Amino acid sequence: MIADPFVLSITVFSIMFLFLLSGLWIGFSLMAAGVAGMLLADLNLPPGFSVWTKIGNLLVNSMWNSVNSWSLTALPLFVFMGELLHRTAVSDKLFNGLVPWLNRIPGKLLHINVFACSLFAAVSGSSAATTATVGKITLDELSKRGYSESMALGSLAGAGTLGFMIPPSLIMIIYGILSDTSIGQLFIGGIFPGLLLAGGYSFYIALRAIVTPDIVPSQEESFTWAQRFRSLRDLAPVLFLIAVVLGGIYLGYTTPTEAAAIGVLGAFVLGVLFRTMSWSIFKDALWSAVRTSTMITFIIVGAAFLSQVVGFLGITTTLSRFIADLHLSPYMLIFILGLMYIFLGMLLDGISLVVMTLPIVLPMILHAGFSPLWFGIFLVFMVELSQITPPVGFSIFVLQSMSHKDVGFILKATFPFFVIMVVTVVLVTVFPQIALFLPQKMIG
Amino acid sequence: ADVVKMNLNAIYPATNFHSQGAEEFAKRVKEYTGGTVEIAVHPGGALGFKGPELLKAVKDGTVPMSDILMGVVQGSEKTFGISSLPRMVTSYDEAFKLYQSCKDLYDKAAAKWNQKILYVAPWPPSGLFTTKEIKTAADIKGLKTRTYDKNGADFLANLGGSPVSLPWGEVYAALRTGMIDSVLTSAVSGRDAKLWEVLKYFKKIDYAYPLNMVVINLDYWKALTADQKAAMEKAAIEVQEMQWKKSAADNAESLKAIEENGIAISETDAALAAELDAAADAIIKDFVASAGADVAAVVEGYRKSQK
Amino acid sequence: MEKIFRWSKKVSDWAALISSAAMLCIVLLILLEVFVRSFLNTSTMIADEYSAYMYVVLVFFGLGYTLATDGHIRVKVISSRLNERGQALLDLCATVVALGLAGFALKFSVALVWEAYSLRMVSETPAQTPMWIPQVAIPLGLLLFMVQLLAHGLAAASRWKASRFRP
Ligand code: NA
Ligand code: NA
Repeated sequence: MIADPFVLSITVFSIMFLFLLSGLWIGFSLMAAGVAGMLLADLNLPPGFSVWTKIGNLLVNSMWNSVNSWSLTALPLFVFMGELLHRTAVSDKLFNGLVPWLNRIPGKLLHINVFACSLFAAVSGSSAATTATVGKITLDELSKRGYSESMALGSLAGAGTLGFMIPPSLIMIIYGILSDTSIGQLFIGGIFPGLLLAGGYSFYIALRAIVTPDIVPSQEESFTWAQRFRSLRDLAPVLFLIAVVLGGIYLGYTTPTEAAAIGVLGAFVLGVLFRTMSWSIFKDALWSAVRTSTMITFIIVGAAFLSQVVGFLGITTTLSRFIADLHLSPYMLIFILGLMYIFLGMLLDGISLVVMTLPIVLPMILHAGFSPLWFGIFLVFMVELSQITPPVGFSIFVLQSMSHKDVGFILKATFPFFVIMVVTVVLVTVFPQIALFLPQKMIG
Repeated sequence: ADVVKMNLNAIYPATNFHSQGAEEFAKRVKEYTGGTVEIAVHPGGALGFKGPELLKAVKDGTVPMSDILMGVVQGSEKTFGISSLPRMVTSYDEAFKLYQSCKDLYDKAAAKWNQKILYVAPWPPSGLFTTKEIKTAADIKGLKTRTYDKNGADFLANLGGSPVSLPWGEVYAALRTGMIDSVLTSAVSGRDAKLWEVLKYFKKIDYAYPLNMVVINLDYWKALTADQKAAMEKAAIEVQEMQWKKSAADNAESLKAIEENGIAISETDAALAAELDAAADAIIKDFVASAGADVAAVVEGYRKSQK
Repeated sequence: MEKIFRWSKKVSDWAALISSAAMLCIVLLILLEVFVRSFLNTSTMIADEYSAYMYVVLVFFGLGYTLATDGHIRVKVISSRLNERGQALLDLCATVVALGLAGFALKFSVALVWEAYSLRMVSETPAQTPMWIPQVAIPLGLLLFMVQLLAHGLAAASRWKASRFRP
């Protein structure tokens, strides 16, 4: 029996990491840590009360309560929409539509990843999906045309993470529910920081192309303005979906969950219009969406249970009080949290990162006077960073399987983009209005 | 002696007066029991409960103590739906009278669910926050109103409105964007959400004075000594009295605050009151018909005494 | 052994079919709500409630299928450094822990459903849905999940056994 909440919390988290590292599935690892926490704690039960009954009831309660949620229903829907788009011609058209516009900028087609990811991110809820969908087309084309492979991979890794920042975003849905922040406002709040990040990537690519011209092939394709404007037709489907999904939320016609259902319909209609929809493609997309949603939700269930236990054992209050007693300045607090997130992000996937830390971190953040909306954006940046840090980084996994390069090469290629991301986080921390301006302006 | 430690689940944020009441209760219990009973209050739903499952959670001792909005658990126990019926009472005095006549019913229902009610406290009355002024019942027709429960939705539907159910977190954005144009809630919640930034009028329709109850699991309760029980009951009586006063004072303060921030407040006249009562009547009749005979007797008895 | 694997695969495929149907129901129900609200200025009053129930069905019936298709993620930092035998053993241990947790949850989810049924608990919404109906998806889904975990554990055990006879 451990009475001291501080020792208890360290024990619980050690147990959790032990299970995680031993290869137990993540959702189960969180549950196991929760069970262990309840068994170790001094629960002070009245006579005749079984601790196991209490744990069992808590576990089942979090299973039911965390999944039976209308707002969270947006998650499987955005996953489904992404799967449909991934299998239609939308991404090919994106490429064809962007190429004629990029060949005069320094860096030329190297910008394709940034532009295509930004646009695709606006219809896809996850970074892995964005990276995979865009990479499927651009990587081959870029290497065929003689562009630097390391720049192509790095920019894809960096820009692919925009999937979580530019709305819609699965991470924002999860954060919004856990922190009781408006998901609609979070979505809108992510637009500027996402564009800022994309701008940073493009700026770096242009700079590199000027300093080291050999990363770009010398021969030139040329396009007439007529060709350029004709190519806009290829961008129309994506722009249409963005308008439908984000427009509905921004103008208040739909909640994020409804926007997601409309997005599914939109993606399906586009597939039919382009004649890329067939029964087997539809079935693939559907089953794949079931798999991904189930996987993510099972982690959420485990995390919900663990948070419940952490709350019961008084760990949250103790740690918050401990941090409060350190009297850190708000920026120092954010700095320390940032380091913690980068460290945890090496091991954990983005969703676990959010759901596991939030019960402890959110009260501290609110206490320090940060707005929950702003912190949501900050947290999305942390998740994006975790996508490209070893050993567990989803974007790295996706890149590895697509390019068959070794991890060292990918990490070296990705590093500059990691740095750009960190710089952008600092900017958004010093100037929170970058994130907060647009949500405050939402009008109908 | 051993110190008894219990968790109390508080559904509202720490700044809410129900949560503050629970904190005050915990403080007094600690004092009156000489520190032998320690209650840790967890506000803001930090323990992972949403509401409807709380009767069962306390029954099983999954959480030993909880603050529960009675209306939210009427799916488990119909009796607890009485205080959220529309237009049953239109003042704090009446609300207290109704509570007095229902007290035995409530205690019996709680015992059935293996728990004991320590004290109850009322929410300030809900009214209508709107963009356009409401003068007669006809002005309610077509309003897209965010309501918080089935009764509220039925009530507004009976008046010709289009009730919308929406998580509270989305309300502000939905108002700014015109997805909804009105909210059925108390002046206190309106003040906390700064509704004056998006809405202009508040009609005091005295929709309901819903009750919250703070309950304890009976096994935990029975494990306490006679002295500890007495001390807790003493604290409960004091906090209950304090919370009823606090609710009324908070309501008055909030009304002042929203008025100062530019919201025009108006009373309900006799004509509108009659229309509201008519809309409520069907809901109350339905409730009485589906609740047990003893609930029906108490509710009807109370309504007759008011006429 | 082969028979068990084939059978468990079939079971999880059937469950996934139900999950997929639940996903489509969510989409259709919410689209209906948007349509009814935009054009008829009314509400289905059940879209939010029932799409959440469907989501419960989607997730719990999908657990087994997701495991069968290696969709549940895990950290492989240590296991990727082990030899085949070590990997199989670690996988077996993980599966035993998972089975224990799933079985534990199954026991209490049955109690949850039974109480919701016997105490006649209904949702506090216009539909007044008896709670046991959507909740029954949890024990059923967990049961199917355990079948799949068992098959997974057997496969790991046989890999471990097979690797024993190799240098
Ligand atoms: Na996105
Ligand atoms: Na990582």
